Amino acid sequence: MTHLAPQLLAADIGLAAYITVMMLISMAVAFAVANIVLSLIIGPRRTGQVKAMTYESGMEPVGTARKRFNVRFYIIAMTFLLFDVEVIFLYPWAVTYANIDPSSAYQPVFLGRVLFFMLTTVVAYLYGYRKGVFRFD
Amino acid sequence: MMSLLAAMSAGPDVPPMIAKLSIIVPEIVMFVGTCVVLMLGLSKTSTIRRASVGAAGLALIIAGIAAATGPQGVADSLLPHVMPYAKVLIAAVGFILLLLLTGTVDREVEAEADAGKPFDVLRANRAEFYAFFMFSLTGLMLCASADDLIWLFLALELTSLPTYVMVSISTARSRSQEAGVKYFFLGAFSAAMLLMGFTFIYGATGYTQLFGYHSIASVIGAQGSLGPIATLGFVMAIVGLCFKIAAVPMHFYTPDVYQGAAAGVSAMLAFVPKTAGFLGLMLLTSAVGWGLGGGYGLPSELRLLLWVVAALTMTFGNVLALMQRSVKRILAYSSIAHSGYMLVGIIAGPGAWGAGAPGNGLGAVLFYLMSYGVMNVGAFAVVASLEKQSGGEAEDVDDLRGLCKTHPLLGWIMVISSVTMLGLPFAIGFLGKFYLFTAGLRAGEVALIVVMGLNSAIAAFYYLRLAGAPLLEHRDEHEASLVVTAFNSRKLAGLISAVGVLALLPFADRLATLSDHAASYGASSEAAQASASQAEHVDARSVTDH
Amino acid sequence: MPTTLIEQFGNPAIAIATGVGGVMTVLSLNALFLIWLERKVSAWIQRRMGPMEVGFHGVFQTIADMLKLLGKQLITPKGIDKPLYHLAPIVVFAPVVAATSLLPFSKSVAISNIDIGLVLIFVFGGFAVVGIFMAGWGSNNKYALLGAMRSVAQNISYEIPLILSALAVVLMVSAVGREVPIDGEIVALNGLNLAHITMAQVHWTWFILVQPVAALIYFISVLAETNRAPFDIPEAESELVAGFHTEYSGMRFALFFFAEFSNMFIGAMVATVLFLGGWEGPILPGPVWFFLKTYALIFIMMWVRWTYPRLRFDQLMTFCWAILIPLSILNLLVTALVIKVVQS
Repeated sequence: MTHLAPQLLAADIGLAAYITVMMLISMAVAFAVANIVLSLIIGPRRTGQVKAMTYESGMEPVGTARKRFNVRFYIIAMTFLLFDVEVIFLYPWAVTYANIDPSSAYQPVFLGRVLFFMLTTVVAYLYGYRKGVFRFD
Repeated sequence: MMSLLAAMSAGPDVPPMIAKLSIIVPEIVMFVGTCVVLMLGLSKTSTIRRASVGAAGLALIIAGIAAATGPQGVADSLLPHVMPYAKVLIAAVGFILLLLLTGTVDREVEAEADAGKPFDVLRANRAEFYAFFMFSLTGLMLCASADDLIWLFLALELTSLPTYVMVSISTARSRSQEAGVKYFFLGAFSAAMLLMGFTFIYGATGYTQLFGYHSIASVIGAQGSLGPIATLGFVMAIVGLCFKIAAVPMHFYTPDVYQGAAAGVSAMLAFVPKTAGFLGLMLLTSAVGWGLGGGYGLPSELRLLLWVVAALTMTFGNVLALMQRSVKRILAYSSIAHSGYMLVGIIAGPGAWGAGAPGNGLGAVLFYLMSYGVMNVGAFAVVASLEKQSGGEAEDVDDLRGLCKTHPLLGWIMVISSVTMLGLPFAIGFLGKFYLFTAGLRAGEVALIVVMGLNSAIAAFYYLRLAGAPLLEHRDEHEASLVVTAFNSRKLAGLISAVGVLALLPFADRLATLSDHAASYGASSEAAQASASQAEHVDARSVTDH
Repeated sequence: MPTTLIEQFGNPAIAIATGVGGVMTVLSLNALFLIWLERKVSAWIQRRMGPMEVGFHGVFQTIADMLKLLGKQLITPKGIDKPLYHLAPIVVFAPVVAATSLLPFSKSVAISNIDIGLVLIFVFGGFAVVGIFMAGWGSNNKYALLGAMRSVAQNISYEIPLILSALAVVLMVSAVGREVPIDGEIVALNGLNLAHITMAQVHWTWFILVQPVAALIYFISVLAETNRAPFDIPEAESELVAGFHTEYSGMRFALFFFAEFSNMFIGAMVATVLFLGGWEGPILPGPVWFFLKTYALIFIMMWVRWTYPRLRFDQLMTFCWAILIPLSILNLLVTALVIKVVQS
C-alpha cells in the first residue's frame, strides 16, 4: 500500500492506472505459476493407472463427462444475455441521469427513455415468466 | 462526461427526440399492440388467446388511422411525404395479411386444449407468431420514417429478424426449418453487407444523417460527385438491400423459403421485406440524388449497377418461373421479377418535372408496391385455403385444375389475381406497370424498358397457366379431392384482394396522384439550403425539360 | 494533474513493485486470517473449539496447511482438456488480485483510482465464471461438470441483481449533489468511481440508510456470487464431492481456495464502499474503519453460512429470477422517480 497525495479523488484518466492493473494481473499470473511449479518440484511425482483415473467416488469411471446437458442452463444463459445488455445500457444512464440540470427538458426525456427501455425488458420478462423460463422444477 | 453534460444543457429547450416522437406514433401504437398480443397469446383462457389476433388487427387499424391523420411531412427530408403513405399502405396490407395468417400455428395445441387437456404453453407458438408479425410491421413502418443510417439499419433488421423465425415455426415440416435456417444465414450475410456499406458511406461523408443541413445528402451535394469510398459504400448497401427485395445477386433463397414456409407467411415475405428494401433504396438513392455529374440520373456507377440488377432480376425471375410446377415457387419467381420491374422506377428517379406530374419513378414504385401488395395476397390466399385430403398444401399447378367449378370463389380469386399480376389492362397491375414504363421512358432508359416489355411477355406464359388451370382445365376423376380449410378469414383475405384489384381501378387516378405526392422529391421548406446545389441542379433540368 | 503511483515514486518499477507487493500481502494475510476465522466461527457456532494446536488458539494452523499443500502432489488425471485444465486456476486467481487493487482503502491510500472502478470490479468478477467453467469442462469429471454448470448458472443469474442494486447507488451518488474540490476545481461526483462513491457518504449519510433494499439485494447476491452457503450448491459436498475443483489437488486447489476467500473479501469491501461509507468514520483513521466494516460484513456472511441450510437448485434460481431481479429493477425505478421528485 502506498500513500498518495490528497488528490486521490482526481481520478486517473490516463492509461497509467490501467498499466498498474495490467501489471498486477501479470504478477498474479506469475505468482500462481511460481506456486504450481514450486509444488511440482517439491511434491511427489508418483503416477499410475489408478492415480490418474478420473474421480468417481472410487468406482471405475463410466463413459465420458462431456454429454448433452439440460437445456434449462442454456435458456438461463440466453435470458442472462437479455438482462446483461440491459444493464450495460443502464450504466451510462445511471451516471448521467441525476447530474442533469433538473430544469432542463432533458431530464424527463432521460427518464422517459429509461422507463420505455425498462418496459421492453419487463414485457420480455413477463413473456419468459409465462413461458416457464424461470421455473426450475 | 462533463463536456457531454455541458453540451446537453446548452441545447435547445425541446429535445429533438420529443419532436421525432410525433412522427412515430403509429410505430408506438404497433409496439404497444405487439406487447399486448404477446401477453394475450399466452393466456390460459382459450377465448383470450383467440382475442390476441383481434388485438393485432385493432393495433393495425389504429396505427393506420394514426398515420393517416398524423403529421404529413417531415422537415429536413428529401422525401418528406413518403411516410404517411407508406404507413397507411403497410397497415392496410398488414391487415389483409393478418386475415391470411390466421390458423397458421398451434392447431394441434389448440385442439388438445379444446379436448380438455391443459394448455401447453411451451409448445404453443401463437403469441410469438403474431407478435413477430407485428414486430416486423413495426420495423417496416420505422423504415418509412428513417432519416438516419443507423435508424434505417435497425428498422430493416427489426423487419427481417422476426420473419426468419416466422418461416421456421409456420409449419411443423422439416422443410420449414430448413427454409428458416437458410433464410437466416443469407439474411445475416446480407445484413453484414448492408452494414459494411453503411460504414463506408459514413466514413466517406462523416454523417449518418441522410438528409438535412449536416448530412450525407449535403456532403454529396457539395462535393458534386460520390467519390470512390462512398460509391463502394452505396454499392455494398444496395447489394445488401437486394436480399430484402429478392433481386438478383441475393435472390437464391426466395423459391426455397417461399415453398418451405406456410402460404400465409410466404405472402407476407413477398410484401414486407420487399417494401422495407424499396423504402431503404429510395432513401439511399435520394441521399445521392439524381442530379450529380451533369446529366439527369444517378451517378453512372450506381445507375449501371441498378440497371444490371434490374435487367437480370426480371429476366431470371420470369424465365425460371416458366420451369416451375409448384404454385408457390412460381409466385416466388414472380416476386423476384416484380422487384426487377420496380427497380426501373428507382433508376428513373423522381423526374425533373415537379411533383404531381406523371412519370415520377419513385411514385410509380410506391404505386406498384401498393398494387403488388393487394394483388399478391389473392394468389397466396388460394394456396393457403386449399388442402389436399392427404394433408399438406395443394401447391402443384395441377391441383388447381377445374377449381372454378369445384370451388368457384377460390378459383376466380386465383384467376383475377394472376391476370392482374400479369398486367392485363383491366386491373390495377397494368397501371402499376404503365407508370413504371412512363417513368422509365421519360428518364431515357429505353433499353431497360424494352427488356421490361419482353419480360412482361414471358411472364404471360406462367401467369396464364395459373389463370387457365382453374378456369379452362378439368379435374381428373381419380385425383384426390381438395379440402377447403375451416379458416374463412383466409378466403376473406383472398376476396378482399380480388375485389380490391378491381375496385381500386376507378380510384387509380386518385391513388396515382397520392403516390406521386408521397414520392415528391426535394427538401420541403426548412432544409432547402441543405441540398442547395442539388436543388439548383434539378431546377436547371426542369427548365430545359419544359 | 491526476496522481498516479508512478508519478508519486518517479520510478515506475518501484511504484509497481510497491503496488503489487501491497496487494499480494493484503490478500495473502487476509486469506490466511479468513480461513482461520471461518474455522473458529463455525466451531463457536457449533460449540466446539476449532483449531487449537498450532500457535495461540491455532492462529498458525492455516500457514501449516498451506505448507502442507505446497508439498502435496499435483495429480493430473487422464482424459482432461489440457489447456483448459491448466489455465483454469490462473484465470480464477488473477482477476481477484487485480480487483483488489481498485479499492480505495482511505482518502489517501489506494493502488489505482480509475474513473470506472465499479465497472472494472464487476468485469473482474465475471472472469471467475469463465475460469470455473474451464475447470469444470476441462476436468472430464461428472461432478466437476455438474458443479461448473450450476455455478455458472448461479453466478450469471445473481450478477444481474448485484449490478442493478449497485446502479441504484450510482444514481444516488450524483443525486446527492455533493461537490468536492479536486485540484482547486469543484467537481461533481462520478458514480462509477469508488472513491467518489465513498465521498458521497460523508457525515454518516451511508447509503444503507436510503437504499436498504438495494443493500439487502446486494448482500444476498454477493453470497450467491461467492458460492457461500446458503447458496453453495456448486460445491455441495454431499452431492458433488467438491464441485468444479474435484480434480484439482495441492497448490492448484489452494489457488481456487485462495480466490474464493478473496472474492468474499472483495464482495464485502465493495459492499462497504457502496453502502457503509467506506473509510468514513470518526476518530480512527480511514483504513481502520474500512477494514472494520469489511470484516463485520464477512463475519455476518460466516454467521449466515453456519446458520442456514442449503437451498435447492430450483429454489435458488427461482429466488433470483422471480424475486430479486424484479425487486431490484423496481428499486432502481423508484430511486430514479424519487430523485426526479426531490430535484424538482
